[in-house]
Amino acid sequence: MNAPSHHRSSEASVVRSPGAAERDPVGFQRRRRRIELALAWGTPIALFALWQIAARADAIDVRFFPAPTTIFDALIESIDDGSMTSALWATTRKLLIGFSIGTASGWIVGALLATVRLFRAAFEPLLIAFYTVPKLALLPVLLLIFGFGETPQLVLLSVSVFFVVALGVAGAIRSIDTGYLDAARSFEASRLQVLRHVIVPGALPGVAASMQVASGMSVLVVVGLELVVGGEGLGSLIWTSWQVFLPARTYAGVIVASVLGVAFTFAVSAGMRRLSPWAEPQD
Amino acid sequence: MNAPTVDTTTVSARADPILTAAGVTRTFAARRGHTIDALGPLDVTVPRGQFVAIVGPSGCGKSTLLRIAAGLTKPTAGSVELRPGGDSRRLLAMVFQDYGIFPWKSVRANVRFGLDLMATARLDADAIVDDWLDRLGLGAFADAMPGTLSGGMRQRVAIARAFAADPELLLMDEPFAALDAQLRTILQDELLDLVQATQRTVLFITHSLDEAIVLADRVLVMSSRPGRIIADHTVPFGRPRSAEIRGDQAFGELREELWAALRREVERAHRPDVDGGSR
Repeated sequence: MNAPSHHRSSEASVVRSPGAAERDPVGFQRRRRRIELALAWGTPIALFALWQIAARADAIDVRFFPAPTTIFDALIESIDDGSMTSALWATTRKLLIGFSIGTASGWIVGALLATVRLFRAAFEPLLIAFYTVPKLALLPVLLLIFGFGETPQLVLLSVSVFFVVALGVAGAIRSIDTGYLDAARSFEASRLQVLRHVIVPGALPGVAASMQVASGMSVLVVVGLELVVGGEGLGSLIWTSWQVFLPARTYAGVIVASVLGVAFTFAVSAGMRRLSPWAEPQD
Repeated sequence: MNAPTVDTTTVSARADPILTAAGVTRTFAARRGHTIDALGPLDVTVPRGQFVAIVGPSGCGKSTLLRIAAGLTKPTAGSVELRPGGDSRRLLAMVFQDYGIFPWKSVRANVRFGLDLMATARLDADAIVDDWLDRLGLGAFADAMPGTLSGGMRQRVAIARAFAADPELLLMDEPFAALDAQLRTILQDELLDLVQATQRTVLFITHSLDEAIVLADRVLVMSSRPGRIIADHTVPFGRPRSAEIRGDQAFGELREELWAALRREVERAHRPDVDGGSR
């Protein structure tokens, strides 16, 4: 490297020339894509393989960390005896009911918050205050009101979803540029027409984002509730299997719960993407 | 400030004005109980069928005037009276500088918007929309989403939507300001043809004196804030005219005259020691 005092721009010519990515752009893209795909699948597979080897070699305590193949066998077994399928169904049913009630009420309240000034003034501080309360902490109260059974679980799940969606919808509507509202009003659109032509479609991307957050969270809440309250579902299957010391079945339950979470989040975001194709330019 | 008083009434205006503004004033609430006088008091009369361009320094309240006419903002004093009189489907439509067209609607659905709101019969609406898509060269993009279009195409959609609603009065708020100079000239020429073919009243806000002279029958110059009308010029070119008047000697003379009036106001608006000056 040149000493700064002797640096002269004319000492060496600077050449800008194509690199690998420019000489073969299509091949470069394809190679890069392949490497990324291999890493995405390869990393978890490698970790499972490592786990399997460690379990076989007795490097880890298989009583607490059974080998992946043992977990897989336990999974098959629990599907065969019907316990996993009925637990999965019970959890999914609660998830769908609670999520639907929570999002529907969240849409309504969120829309009111964003469009009716006095409603917002009256309720927004309260909603934000309640938003930060850990909903699981309300469980004892709900058990007192609704007794044991599914109702307190559904209420708590709906409430958790409701807060995320209501505040998300309100934010999404408020962030619609006023220029779009002006455009509709300049054509003398009625309140209902503004809602239909501007507010609903304009807020959809933001609404979708909050629903995606709520969908992941609702799986957490429902499984957590089942762990605490019991009854039927993946959470209680995980907990009871652990109590009777069936670690492989416990892990199988955890895996099914996480797959349910991924599938549910994916379904929700795919559904919302279909509704607002304009939000993301297709690539 | 003593702005020269200007007689804005002409013989035809007295006969049949579509818009009459009398003492229109708009004051905005600012922080800590202060208020800002944005506009007026301003008087203007627009006769039916006239194309009026309004030029003025930034922040002089010309957009506010247009928004009051459109019913988007109310005046704090005075009034704007709009008198429908033709057989148009609706009183007015507005074209915005940006954000006018909805990114969640296809080009066709955007152009249809005004007709949808009025519950126009489906077949009629389809025919009208197709006609305006064709006139603005949007036929091939009818089903595209606005996000995939260039700025010029998007503004064509906004213009098509306004014309498709068949308004008596067209309000245009710097519709070409976001476009590059070449595209701007092309869209000016297209608008000139459309306006001459359809005979509508237009209130057109712009920063460009050339744009104002090419398009308008009459150019109003507004003062710096609070905006008043300080000059009212009739454009010395008849209709139908072609965009070639840009090279005419009278064009240059009017441009000079307008600029002389406007320049003072622009400088006044940007001098920091004057109250109500630069923002």
